[in-house]
Amino acid sequence: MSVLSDQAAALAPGRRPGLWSGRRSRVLTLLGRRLIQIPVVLFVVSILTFWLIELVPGDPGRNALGQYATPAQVRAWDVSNGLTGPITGRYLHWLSDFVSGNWGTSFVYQVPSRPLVFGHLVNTLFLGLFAFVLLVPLALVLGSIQAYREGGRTDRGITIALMSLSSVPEFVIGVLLLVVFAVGLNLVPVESGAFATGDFAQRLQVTTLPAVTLAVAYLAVLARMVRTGTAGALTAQFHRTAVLKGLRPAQIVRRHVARNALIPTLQLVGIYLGTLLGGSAVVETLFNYPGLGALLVVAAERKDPVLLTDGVMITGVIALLALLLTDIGLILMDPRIRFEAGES
Amino acid sequence: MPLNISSPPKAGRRAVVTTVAVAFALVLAACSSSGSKTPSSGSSSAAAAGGVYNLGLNTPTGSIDPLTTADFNAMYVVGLASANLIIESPSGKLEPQLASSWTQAADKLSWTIDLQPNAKFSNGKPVTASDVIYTFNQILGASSQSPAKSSFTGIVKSVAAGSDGKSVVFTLDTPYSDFPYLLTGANTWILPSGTKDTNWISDPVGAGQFILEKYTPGQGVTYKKNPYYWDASAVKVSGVSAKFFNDDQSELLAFQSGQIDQITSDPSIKAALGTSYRQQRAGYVKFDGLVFNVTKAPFNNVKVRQAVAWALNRPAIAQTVYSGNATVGNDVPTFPDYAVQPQGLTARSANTAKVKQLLGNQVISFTITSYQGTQGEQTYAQLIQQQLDATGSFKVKLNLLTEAAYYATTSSTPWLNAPVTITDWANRLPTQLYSLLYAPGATWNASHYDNSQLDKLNKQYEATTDQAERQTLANQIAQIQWTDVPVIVAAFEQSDVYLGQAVHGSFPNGQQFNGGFDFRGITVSH
Repeated sequence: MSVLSDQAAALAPGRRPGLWSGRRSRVLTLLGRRLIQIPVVLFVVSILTFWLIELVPGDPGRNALGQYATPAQVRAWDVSNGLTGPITGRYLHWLSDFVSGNWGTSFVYQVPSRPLVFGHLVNTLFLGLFAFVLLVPLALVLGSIQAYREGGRTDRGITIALMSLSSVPEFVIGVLLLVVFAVGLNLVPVESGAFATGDFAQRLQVTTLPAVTLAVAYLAVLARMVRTGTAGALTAQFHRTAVLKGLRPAQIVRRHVARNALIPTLQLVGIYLGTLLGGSAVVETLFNYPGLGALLVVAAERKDPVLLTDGVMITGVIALLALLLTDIGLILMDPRIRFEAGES
Repeated sequence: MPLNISSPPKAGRRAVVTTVAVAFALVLAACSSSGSKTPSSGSSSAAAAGGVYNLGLNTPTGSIDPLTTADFNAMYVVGLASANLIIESPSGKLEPQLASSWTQAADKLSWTIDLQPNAKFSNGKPVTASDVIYTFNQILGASSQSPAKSSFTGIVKSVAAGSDGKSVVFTLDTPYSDFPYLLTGANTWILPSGTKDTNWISDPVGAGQFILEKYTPGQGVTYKKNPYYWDASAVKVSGVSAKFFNDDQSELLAFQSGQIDQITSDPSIKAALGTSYRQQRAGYVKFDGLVFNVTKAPFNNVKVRQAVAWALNRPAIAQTVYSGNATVGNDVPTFPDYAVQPQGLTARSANTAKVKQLLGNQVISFTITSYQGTQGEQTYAQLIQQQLDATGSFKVKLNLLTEAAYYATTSSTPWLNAPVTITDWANRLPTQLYSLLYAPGATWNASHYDNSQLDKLNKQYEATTDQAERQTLANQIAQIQWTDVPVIVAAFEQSDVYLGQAVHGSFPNGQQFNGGFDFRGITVSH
């Protein structure tokens, strides 16, 4: 992806003839290119995942039957579950099943993999979107305040607070929130899994603490990015020109400051969106939240190739779609953006 | 007039304020959506007089099938809905479950198990001799993957219905006086005839105290009371809601918040909870055996093995590794709750002079191989290392593997081949442990120990029912195990759980598989 280097050039306000048709054309070109790239990426990811889980020490049969099963019993279990034979054959078998929609059965959970993955995916999407909804506005607000108060006490205070928060690991923040809100005030349950499939209000209640924990983890960097972008726009020549020619403050912010300041931020937001929607193993495990991240950790630890590869494919699709959405957003926001052939 | 180009526009300020307000409103609304109470859990249909017991378990790591499950948490999931023929109390006494009585034949080569007349499965069908026969044929079959198979191999010849049709006769290959204890083991839950073990979780019929209502993979299980349980009137709780945790901290907080009614004690839990909760200690769970490969130097020298045994501070191990929930061991694998306890042995304790006497001025260097388990295995290895190094006669290194690598299914698997290993062994009969750990050629004889005299004494012990003779033989067996020390048994860990304030009564048979996960007499008030 390349952005024209002339960052000082303000985006022209208003619409110009041919501008939107040009953007639409670039979006369609991007979509066409990604339509080819995404399956290729997923294919490579599936091969790597299938191969890498082979390297994890242990035997699924031993995991299932325990330490007191004899080697012959473990071997019989592996054979009955199709875990023996060359890895190429097993991979092709998995691939053909996956493509045909028959995703097989998870060895760890002993249930069909597809509903298991999609059930957890829904929970992860809910949590990720909730965290995203908390994160982005807050980061925009804090970053903007810092930029407008650059160098002042407010800026320094927010910087110190955000840096302090970002230096605390997710699980520590999560535990502190649980101690206060779940154990102390009894407002929310510690274990959110049993309620994550309840009605919307109940889901919102049990997802609040995990979402806040996730949002806090990403807040400092995103707010910093907003601050830097906004501060840069505020000191740019085009901003001074806009002020001097008498535009209303709302127009200046909407047409000049925000659009220029948010371009780098939007790229980061896109990456975070993919990450949040792909699940967070640490937060999901701590809050016992039935999300995809924790599910895949278990699948990797217990060497469940079917579940792991199925899940990784889904998280891969989500990450790639988030990236695509970000790139489309960038094209729509900044006409200078070009996606050259061979770059993505 | 100076131009202030950095002052925030009013529209932007309004947007900022609005966004912050919306975000906080969202969080606050979520927190208060159900008032000040956390959502209730468990089966609503089960919310009756005895209350729903909220149980915290770790996510099962293995199969959740009655015949093959090997992980404690999976055993708990199965065990609540299933029943053995016989269970064992924390004091080692046998108690009836689906069997009402059991008798040994005069020739000592068969045992007749009489079934409870009112024993029924959760679908209302009676438990019959054919169900018992079917279950044991599944366990003993040629293609059986059940870990229980090894407990009966070489012991049970056949299983058949009794002449009255209400009993089952186990015919044995050799006399085995402790045979009823084998029926208390995991994987011997009685299944309805024709049950496909690998599909059990989707059709979980059993004869236990509860009926499995819903299993949510990775999250938990809900049960309601089984009205067909043979002693249903003694079960007071109306259901059990088991929640799976992958994080110990999370489980502890759930216990402190009252979301679960019990938590298993360990040093960190004990430090966090102190004495503010009721503890129930019942029965013995396991020992961590320090196993020497006696075919490899320097452990082919019995003096080295004995020196290690005399170097250990066992009370410190019991306190540090098991937070005091343990009884000191003396290198004999007889659990303290077993009826026949060895007598006449000198209790080993840390004795540096004895170590020097055995080793002279030698300094023995070796590596202990174990794994990073969740039940103190790592702490145990580190403590042994410290204690041995402190004597000045040993230089010990640790090789701590992942559990999967340690128990790898290869011919060179570390747990059966490394010079010194630490492996945990669940509560079993002394003769079972002998046949697994000490018997020549046994699959799990990690010490590669071979003693024909010990083998002969064990066979005699298995066969006799005379108490005086059993005591004499037990003493002789223990003397050999104590002297040769192929395995150091430093402590026997006890089951210890903290119970929440809503729990009333005590678990009559602890919370182990051989006690049947027995909830009789327990009530909860929430």
